[in-house]
Amino acid sequence: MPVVEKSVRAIPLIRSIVSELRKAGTTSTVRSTPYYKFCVGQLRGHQLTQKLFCKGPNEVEHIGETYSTYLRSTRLLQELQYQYKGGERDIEKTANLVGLTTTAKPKSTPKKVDGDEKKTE
Amino acid sequence: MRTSRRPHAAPHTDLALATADRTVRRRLARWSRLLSIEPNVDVDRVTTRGRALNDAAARAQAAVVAAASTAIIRRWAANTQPDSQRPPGLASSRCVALATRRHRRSYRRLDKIINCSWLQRRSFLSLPVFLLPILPSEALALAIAQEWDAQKKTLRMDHMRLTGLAFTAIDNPLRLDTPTIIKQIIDYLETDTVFFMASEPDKLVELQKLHWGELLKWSNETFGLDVRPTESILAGPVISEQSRLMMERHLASYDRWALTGYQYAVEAVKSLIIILATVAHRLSVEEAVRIAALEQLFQTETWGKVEWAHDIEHHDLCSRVAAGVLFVHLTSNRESTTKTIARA
Repeated sequence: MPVVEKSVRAIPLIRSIVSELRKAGTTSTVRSTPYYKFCVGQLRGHQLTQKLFCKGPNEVEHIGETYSTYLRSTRLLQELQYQYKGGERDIEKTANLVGLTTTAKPKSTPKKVDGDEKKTE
Repeated sequence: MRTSRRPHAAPHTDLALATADRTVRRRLARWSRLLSIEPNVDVDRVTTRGRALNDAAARAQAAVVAAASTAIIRRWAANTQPDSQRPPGLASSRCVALATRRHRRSYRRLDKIINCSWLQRRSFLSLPVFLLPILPSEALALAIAQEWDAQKKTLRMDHMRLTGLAFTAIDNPLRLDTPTIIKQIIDYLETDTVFFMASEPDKLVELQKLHWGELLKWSNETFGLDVRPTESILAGPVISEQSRLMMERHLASYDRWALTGYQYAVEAVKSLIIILATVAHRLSVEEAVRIAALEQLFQTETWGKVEWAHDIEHHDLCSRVAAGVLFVHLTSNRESTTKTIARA
């Protein structure tokens, strides 16, 4: 009688993959995408045993975990890069640092504008 | 009773023209006849592992796999778009680079270069169509499609690592062949992270013995190597000639596509042994990256972490190693699809 190999990590794995796919974003729903169906199909197909066609004992699980890590780390990297992207302040804010304000921006047909800088003490 | 067939729209003529081999063309013709039958069939996927295929057989198999995966993806397209048009010819990845130079997600521009209206139907698959006949496995095609699908207003090519690896493997800009890539990977063995052990402080030494020691023991046993780490700066690690040959022979069992991914992962963590263990399913990617930066882990446990440096580096390494290892696995298994037709 064949022994059913129960994998403890299979369900958390598919949940993490689906959650990462959802967070990554698609143009349509995740369930209609072919990559979702492929992932689910693979895990269902290897439910009884992972040792199909000379695969290792935990091969499909490991590849699934690798994919989940890939999606997760790419997403977190993007978020951190967005958060810490830095950049320059614009001129208005730079002037405000030392208590100055900038003059009004000239319109397309420039009139004569008094270039007084208001100093606050 | 014969099922009615759709008119043979010659979907594989471009691929067939590209392959001069007559047997391959015959096989492709048989595949296109088989795969254009109405879906009243059972699809059994037969996975064959063909790492050590010889050249002609590998090309033939690759062409068949490409045809199969193209046909499968085209069948999905047919389900959403009944008037499936003739697919475009093969275009090099430079076309995509040209189209995306402004890094806008402008599928219409691609549409002008490649005459195909599929790209406008983003609902089912957003994959550069020129990649379809070239990728060796369906899983890789789907993973790359997911990367493209996840892009928002601008294309961030630095976050689409599998696409980048596929482009490198297709274009091969440095004109590398398999022995050259193997040599470049083996060069990392001499300065492998795992061989250089510290002699103090005690806690670091313990950590290194625990993680690196176990790893070295496992790799020596599994691959028949004879490598010993070193604690001094002057004397290098002891790597016997036999170990080098064993590593070369092991790496030679992968093809050029898989080695592209392998090299990418090795260059990310600067260690061949760690990637050896990761590809052999002994380590997970997170563990591999933690082990590779063990001294940094030791320091951050004592002194704390800085998010914009440590975490960014950690996630960057994880995504690189994961992409490389995934590429190795997804290109190493040759999949072919056979259909059993239910006779009425």
